[in-house]
Amino acid sequence: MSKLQTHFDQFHDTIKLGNFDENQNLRDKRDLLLEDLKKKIPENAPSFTHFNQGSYAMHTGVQPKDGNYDIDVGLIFKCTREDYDDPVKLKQMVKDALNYGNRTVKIMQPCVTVEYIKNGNVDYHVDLAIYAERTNESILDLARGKENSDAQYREWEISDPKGLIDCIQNKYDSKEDKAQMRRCIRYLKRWRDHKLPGKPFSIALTCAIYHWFQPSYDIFFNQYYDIDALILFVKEMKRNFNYNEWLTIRLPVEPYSDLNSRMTKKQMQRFKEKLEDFEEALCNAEKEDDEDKACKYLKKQFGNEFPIPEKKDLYKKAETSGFAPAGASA
Amino acid sequence: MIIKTFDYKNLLLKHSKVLSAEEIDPKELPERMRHKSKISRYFLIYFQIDKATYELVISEPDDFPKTLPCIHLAHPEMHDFHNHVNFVGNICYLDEGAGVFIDVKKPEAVLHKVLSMTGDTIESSFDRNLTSLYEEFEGYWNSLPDIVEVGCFYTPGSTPESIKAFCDPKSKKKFVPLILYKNAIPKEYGYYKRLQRLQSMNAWYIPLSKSVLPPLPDSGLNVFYVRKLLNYINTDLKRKLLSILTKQKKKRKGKKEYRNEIYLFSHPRPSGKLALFGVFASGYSNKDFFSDSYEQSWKLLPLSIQRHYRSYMLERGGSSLNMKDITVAVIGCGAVGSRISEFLALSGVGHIMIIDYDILKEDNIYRHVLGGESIDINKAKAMADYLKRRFPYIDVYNEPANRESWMKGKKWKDIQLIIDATADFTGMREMNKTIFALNNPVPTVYCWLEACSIGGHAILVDGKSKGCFECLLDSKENGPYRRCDFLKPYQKITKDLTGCGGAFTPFSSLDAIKTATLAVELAIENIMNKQKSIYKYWIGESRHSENAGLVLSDWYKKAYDGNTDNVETNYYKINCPICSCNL
Repeated sequence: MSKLQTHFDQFHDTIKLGNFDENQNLRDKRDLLLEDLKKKIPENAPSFTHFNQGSYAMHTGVQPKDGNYDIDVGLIFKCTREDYDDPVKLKQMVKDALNYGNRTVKIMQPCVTVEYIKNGNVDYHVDLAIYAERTNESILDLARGKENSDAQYREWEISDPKGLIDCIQNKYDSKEDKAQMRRCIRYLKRWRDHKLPGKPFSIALTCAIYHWFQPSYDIFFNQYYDIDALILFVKEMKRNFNYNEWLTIRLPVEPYSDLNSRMTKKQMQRFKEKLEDFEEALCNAEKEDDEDKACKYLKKQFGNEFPIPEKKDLYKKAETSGFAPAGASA
Repeated sequence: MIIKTFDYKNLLLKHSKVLSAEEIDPKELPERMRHKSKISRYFLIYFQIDKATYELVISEPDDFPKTLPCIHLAHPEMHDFHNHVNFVGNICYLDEGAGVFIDVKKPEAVLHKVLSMTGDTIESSFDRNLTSLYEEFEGYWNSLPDIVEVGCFYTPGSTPESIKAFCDPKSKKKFVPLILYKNAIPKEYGYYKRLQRLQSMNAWYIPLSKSVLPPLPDSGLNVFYVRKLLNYINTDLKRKLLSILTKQKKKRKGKKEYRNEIYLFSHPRPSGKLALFGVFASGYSNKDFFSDSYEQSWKLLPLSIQRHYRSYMLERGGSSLNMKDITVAVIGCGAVGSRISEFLALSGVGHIMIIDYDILKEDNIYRHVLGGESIDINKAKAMADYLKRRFPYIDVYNEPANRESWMKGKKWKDIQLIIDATADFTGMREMNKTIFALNNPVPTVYCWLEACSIGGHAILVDGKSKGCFECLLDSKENGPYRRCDFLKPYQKITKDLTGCGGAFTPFSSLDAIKTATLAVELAIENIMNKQKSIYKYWIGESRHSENAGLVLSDWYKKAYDGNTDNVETNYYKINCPICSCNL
């Protein structure tokens, strides 16, 4: 058990994406982009402020498997939804201001995506979520819709991105509980990347953890065991599938929508199957005395980044003695 | 010894309501007014209450103000009823049930408070609201002259019935009852021994429907008062009562003879509970007491009812009545198990099954409930006999067997809870597994203690929620061990006073009592409140262990510093082979 935690720690170090502010390069690129936007956006456009959102802000990022780093930035424009009946109009202004040089700018349903190409591949991308303010309210309206969307898909959606960050950041008081929660979000994302690329979305997995995660701590040995926390969490997630075999993962803030709503029935079914395999593998690894075998169970779930100890480092569990002095009485 | 620095008479006179105070010769006082403790002096005082002046007799105890004075009406027969004033005029100005804390340095303040409370007590009856007197009927009744105490094993209900009494015709009291009962008193009960040679007589229980007032001091307990009590029975019950009385006395009707009749009365107190009092009527008559119109032929004795019946004794002892139908099995009757059996009985558990194959030896005496009289007797049997001697309302079964042979029988599956105090961890682990395999798992408490007063552990496993005994276990190269122990595993902790074969774990009876307390608390919480699986411990100082060169576990250090309520709910293993299905 204690050895497995060392492996989980090592695995975590491998997949962890550092804090945004720790990554000077990405930070510089974000600042440059925002500077550009400020300069190029038409004078009649409202002014804006920005904030970090997504996994950077929540400290739950993982290294992208394909090397395409993403940066999520929220832009709050000094206007209200009433000022722009068509939210795509505002998104278009952003696109137009940025669309030059080595960038490809696309208007996506929930954001404006700016891609940077290097050697013919996307090097990294920035998702700019465009928000309008609400009078006397801390929550915002998110501009949704693409350039060629029908009118019904061009809408302002009530949104509370900062509230979500608060929820995740402040779920636990204890620093250690918080750290274990973040580690488990990262493991889960990597498991998803390995087993079910794309869906469920990272935000859905993060919110699932918010709803159903419990820190797992061995009181007798004063040690956090991530494998226990994962087993507990997966069991709890499975329990929350409804009679239609559907797992609703609600956003814990406005608009409280189901973050899995864009999954197909088939994707959901596959997700459940994979979860069952995941639970079985975690349980097998947990009770496996042979460290090599235990790590192999986990590697199958998390991919090659999960470490298999070198033969020489293998913790060889000595055969346990059949009995020992009881050392107590009654 | 308190050196008196005050003059009691002066202190009395300093009180604004005391008009005069004169010392009186104790010989002039009737016996009933004399204080039980040593009294230096008595004073007759004139005491102003509202517009009336009361003549009171106040005592000066030898050790006043450590002992408070007694205050009586000087002439109780001249007064009507007062709340908190009994037949002999004693004024109960203070409810001493919860004890009194007296500042002995302030005699004047003490005495003046006594006098003020006396005034308030008397004044409380001025509006003729005698609720307190009705409520404290028994206190008043028990102050009647010649009162006789009678033990009542009968549980009074709401209908009249014929009951039984024991008396000792060879004693001075002759046919005066000593005990009232209906169902046989268990022969094993220690108190029964003194009843063995007694003679059984008929008695009658008469529940009055309304509250009654006690006899007034000027008339006392007399035939009219008792006969008039029948007016307080409602018509239906009266008919039933008369039919019982007639049935019992038919044979003797008409003959003039010596008759001894025993009546137990109850009446509702304003608070809802019953007041109990009794009357012993003896006379030479051709009729029973209630049919006879003559009064001269009957002599009456008031009976003070001492409650020995189950519901009262359990409530009075702080036990629960709700566990009288519960069966708890205790496996292992060692230092901890014997205490557990005792504590279960004290808590009101009605049925206890004790399982142990072992014999009590002299080695056990200083940490076992049982003493020298049980040496060389099977522990389970001796403990069962001991509990039956000690408690009147308990069924204790004993199985002089080990856990495994007891479990082979079917009896244990019908019990509500098991407590395993064997410290046989191999067997406990097997039992945990067996119980989880049942369709309806029996909640089980496992408990043990560690050497050198370092601590004790108890885990309740309800079989339905997460957590079980297995969750506390693990294995290392040296073999299985308990993760929650305060001493690191595999150390030599036994002590040997006599050489090979005499090794034992050093712990004291106090350690055993603490561990048993933990186990019984968990058991009761499960029985009464459906407590789910939980682990609890008590933790001691480390110096004895350190002196013995023993090494403490990390858990000891954490538990000692932190958790003040000594309870853990997060002890379970996520992937436990036995209970993870309950996660």
